[in-house]
Formats: sequence, structure tokens, C-alpha cells
Amino acid sequence: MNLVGLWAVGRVVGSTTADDETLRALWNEHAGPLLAYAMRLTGGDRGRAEDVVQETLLRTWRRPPEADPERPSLRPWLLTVAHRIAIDHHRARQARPTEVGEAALAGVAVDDDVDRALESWLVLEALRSLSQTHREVLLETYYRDRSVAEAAATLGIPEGTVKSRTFYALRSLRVALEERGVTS
Amino acid sequence: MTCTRETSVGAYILGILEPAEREEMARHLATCAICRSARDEFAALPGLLSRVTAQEVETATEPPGELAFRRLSAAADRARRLRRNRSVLSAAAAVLLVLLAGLTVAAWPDGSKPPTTVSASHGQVHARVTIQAADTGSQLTLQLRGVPSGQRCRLVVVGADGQREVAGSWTATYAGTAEVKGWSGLAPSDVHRVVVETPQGRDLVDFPLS
Ligand SMILES: [Zn+2]
Repeated sequence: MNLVGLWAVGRVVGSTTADDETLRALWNEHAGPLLAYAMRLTGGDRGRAEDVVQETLLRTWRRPPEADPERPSLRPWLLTVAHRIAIDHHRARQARPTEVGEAALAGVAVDDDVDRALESWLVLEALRSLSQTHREVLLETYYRDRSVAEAAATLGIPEGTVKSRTFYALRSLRVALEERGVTS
Repeated sequence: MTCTRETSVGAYILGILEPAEREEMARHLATCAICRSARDEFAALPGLLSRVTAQEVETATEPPGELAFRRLSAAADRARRLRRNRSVLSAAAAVLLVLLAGLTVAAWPDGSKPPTTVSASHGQVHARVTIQAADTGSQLTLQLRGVPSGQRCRLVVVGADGQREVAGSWTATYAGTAEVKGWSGLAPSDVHRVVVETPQGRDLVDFPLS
């Protein structure tokens, strides 16, 4: 969905409903991956990350970027805005002498460039699009580093099912990534 | 054409097979084109999966809640009202000018971009704030002196409809000075007042803008 276009519709109609729908669409499509990115920017602080997400989407809703046919996706824009907001927040906190330690702890330590961040976003989004059981099996096996036997015990399914489920989960993931243009 | 072992290729790729089974699978791959093809299909996936963390996957499973959306929606409502009411309320904001002593307000032609600097004094407290259009809001830089040392302060931005945003907060140094950077979602032209206040809501300095 081209959200820049959607936003434009909202403006032309000028109705509160269309505006609300735009905001909802922005939220549904971007809030999840954006939160994950913001969590990186805030050193894992969920409260601060949610603030960054909120401000990023609010700014985008209020002043969306010019529609660019070359870059139909809003993501690079959103990532850049989120990054700047996180830095602004970080600086604002640093200005408070009593919280210097805390500020250093939650430093904006992200050297990812936008392309790299974007790829992570797409992977995350592809993972989100999987069925719950597929995502769960990858979480247990790959991310929590459990063997087939351990994952079988945790998930309460036979070992053979862990294997076949992993197989189909990876296959769905590959398709989901391909749909998002991630092929390498 | 199928192979009964094909469904183990995923577990093989992710490295979760027991050592004996893993070895067996490696030998099988040398002789089975079906399984090799599945292995090739999955080859890039571990690298891509490594681009996100377990925590991120868990968070993604549970996206920000409805409550967070409502918070966003409420903020959007405020912004919308602000756009509507700006012209009506600018007259009211101008009244605030009278309340201040020793105040200089730089001209602020609507829609202009250059940073605006405003100075204000209130008793012992002297302050200067610069407001600059940021990406899609405002960046504020405040210089302050004469504040009781250790005093907790907040920099608050007030929109036309009275909407308040805390742009930053800090504790004054021993010397009672501070330089603070803050950020607001309001555009410079939407900012009607900038207030430095204590957490109890007592105004230390008030900068009306119009
Ligand atoms: Zn085979």
C-alpha cells in the first residue's frame, strides 16, 4: 500500500475519517517493525522506544514526505526520522546532569546505515507474516539455539514435527522474503 | 519426486540436528539432488535471520498495543485541532505578552524558517530560547541562569489550543545555569508559548510567541 497516496486522499477529502484511516494504516503497517528498530535506538528501553514510534508516526502523518515514484516505500523515511528523534531525545536527556549515567547507558549506538536497517525491518516483517506455529518454531530453534530434542520438549511436539515444521517455516520465510524483494 | 529426508534439511541448515544425524545428513546430501536443492533454497536464510535478535522477534510477535495507538490518535487529534484553532487563539496568546517584564520577542513571520531567539526574565531568572524548524517539528535550545541550584526544571512548549508538550527536563547546576536542548512535535509557527517551569507547575520563565 502506498501510504503517501493514502495520505493525499485523506487531505483531499479533508475528512476526519479519512485522516483517521491514514493514521490507522500507518500504524498497522509500520508500528511493529518500527518499534523493533526504535528498541535498538534506545538500547532496549521499551517506553522510550514507544515514544520514538509515536513521534515518528505523528510527524509522518502531519507532514508526509513528498511522494517519490522512485521510492514508493515510506520505510527509509520512517527509519531516518526515528533515528533523528532518538538522537534528539538522547541529547535532551544528556542535558540533565543528574541522568548522565543513564543517558550513557542508553546511548544511541546504532551505526547501521539505513539500507541495513531496512533489511532487518524486512526480515522482521517477513517473520511477522508467518503463522504463529512457524514463527514459534524458528524462535525456539534458531533464536533460542535449542536442539531438535529441546525444541520438541519445549513446544510439546514430536521431534519429527519440529523438523518438518522448521522445514515449512523456512520455506514460507523464503517466500515471504522474496515477496519483499529480499533474495540474497 | 520426493525424498523422505527432505524435511530434515531445515533443521540441518539451522544446525539443530544431533551430531550423528547431522553427519548422516551431510553424507545423504552428497547423493540426493532433491535435498541438495532444498539446502540451496535455504542457504541464505540463516544469514538473514541473524539480522534480527530474538528479542526483536518476540516484540514483533506482540506489536505495540491498542493503547499505544489510541495515544497516537489522541496526539493526532490535538494536532488537528491546533491547525483549526490557531488563528482564533493567536489573539488570546498575544494577551500574555503584557504579563511579562523585560521581554524581547524577535519577529516571527509566519512560515519563515530561520531560527527564532527570544529572551525573557522573571525575577532572578534570565533565559534565552532559540526555536528552529527541525525535521517536522521544532528544535529548542534554552540557556538559563539564576535558577536555584539543584532546581528541577521542565521546558514546556504550548500550542495554540493550550496543548502542552514537555520538550525537555533537567536539574539546574550548582551555579544555577543550564543549557538544554529539547524537541517538540509542533512546528515553530504552531508554538505559542515556551515555558520553563518546576515539576510543581510553577512558572520560572514564560516566553509568549505570536
Ligand atoms: Zn534426500
